[in-house]
Amino acid sequence: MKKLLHLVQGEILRLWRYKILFFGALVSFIWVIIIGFSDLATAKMLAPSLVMMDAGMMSIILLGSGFFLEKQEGSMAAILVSPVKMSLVLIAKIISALVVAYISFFIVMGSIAIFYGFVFQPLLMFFYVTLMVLAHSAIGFLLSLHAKDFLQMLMRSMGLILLFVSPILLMALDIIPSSLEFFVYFSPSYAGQVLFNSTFDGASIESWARLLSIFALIAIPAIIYPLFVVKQFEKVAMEG
Amino acid sequence: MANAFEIKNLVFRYPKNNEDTIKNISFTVEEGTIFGFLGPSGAGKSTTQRILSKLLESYSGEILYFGKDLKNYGKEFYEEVGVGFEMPVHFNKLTAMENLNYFAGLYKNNLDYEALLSEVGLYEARNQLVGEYSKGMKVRLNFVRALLNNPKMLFLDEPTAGLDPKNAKIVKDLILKFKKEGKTIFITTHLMGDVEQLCDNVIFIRGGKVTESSTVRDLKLRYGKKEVKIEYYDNHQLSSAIYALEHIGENKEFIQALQDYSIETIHSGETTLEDIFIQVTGDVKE
Repeated sequence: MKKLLHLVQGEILRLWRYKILFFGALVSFIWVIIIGFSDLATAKMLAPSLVMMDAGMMSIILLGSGFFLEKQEGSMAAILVSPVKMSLVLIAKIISALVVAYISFFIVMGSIAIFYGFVFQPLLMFFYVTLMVLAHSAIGFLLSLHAKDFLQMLMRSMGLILLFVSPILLMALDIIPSSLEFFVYFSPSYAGQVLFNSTFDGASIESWARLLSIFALIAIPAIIYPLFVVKQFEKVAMEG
Repeated sequence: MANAFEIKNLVFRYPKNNEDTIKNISFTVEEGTIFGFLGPSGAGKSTTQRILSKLLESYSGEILYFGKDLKNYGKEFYEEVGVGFEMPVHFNKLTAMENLNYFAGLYKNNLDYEALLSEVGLYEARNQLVGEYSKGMKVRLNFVRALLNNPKMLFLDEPTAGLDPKNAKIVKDLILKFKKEGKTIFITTHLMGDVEQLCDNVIFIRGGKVTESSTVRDLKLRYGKKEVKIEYYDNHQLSSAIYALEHIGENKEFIQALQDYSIETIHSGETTLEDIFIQVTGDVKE
């Protein structure tokens, strides 16, 4: 536990020094400005997408940029020859991604609360942000570990983000038949959006949709991390 | 003294290769000694070092570390092992102290690394970002990082590469001091001067096979010519003569030359490690 805390502290210090934390917060403040210029109805409509964008997309890009910076420096090799399991290093990286997402979440939701007196459900939202970061960070790691460089990783992320976001649009336009709706929940962006919408407008989201979203957001990291990330992470770290 | 490492019939092949990189090599690294692992680029030095430092595991053969199979060690292995890489491996946007604090926090035991920073001449620059360090400073910081946990076994890859003679001497003195404390050091290097000054035992490797192994002194004696060469002035003309080293004290010609001429130089036919390197690896040193 002590080592994990130390690793997390190190991750956060590096996120700060590499300005990843700064730019993450900066993006959140841009959302605050947008929210500030909206009315409550628009802010409530926008907020789930903004939180989803920060907790989801930012997790992928943040992990990717951190990963390639460390690869460039070779610093992973020094961690590899220390008495720390790589799974612990991985957990520290996920926790640091969670911290960034929580900061962004509190900035965005805090601004809605301050500007409009909107009472949100912090614990439930906190839980949903956690699920989203876990799912997206798993995908972020998967992309980073199989990309040659940051540019390739970024291009693939963009493609994947488009793929994940498209169900939201297709569902809104009623293009996807209801028989295929089940599969749409395995887009982490869609599942996240459903969960966040439920905290704003719970009545319109059915319980099964929430449960399916939660299931999808748990299943994605539960499959990707142990099967595709942990061993590959160690392998890539060893190769330098 | 016990054996720090006993390597028996080590074979290793990278998954994508058709040929073994390490071809059935065996050697022993004695505790409390400095062991030089030498050879041209691509000979398998780094691969062997990576295997011994548990960075590569799919090898065949047997490796015992202090009598216990290396495969049976987990991550605790690194509590007592230090690994210094040739390339600097630090976080560039953190200061030297932040880097060392970070890595030191991963070990149970730590050395007084502020004192060590001072010894390698980096104390004044300890709060400077590593990204602003020169190559030589990064190499010295690398060395300090490898010693952070006060290891009993230290792996060093080209520990003085990129250092000026003054700083190279500081690092070499620290390696010797480390050895005096009973620690074991495994060095891979191209710098034969370092090997002569530091190593007790050496192994030459080429194409994944051991081509020669012994002590530095023994190699120099074996590969050297058993002769004495003198240079002297004879009627203001520089001349030279070579005499067999055997029974040199009874060699009348040699004794006469010493008495009759103004001697400029006397050299034994002892060879250099560079020459041995070229002979045993069949390669010109890079």
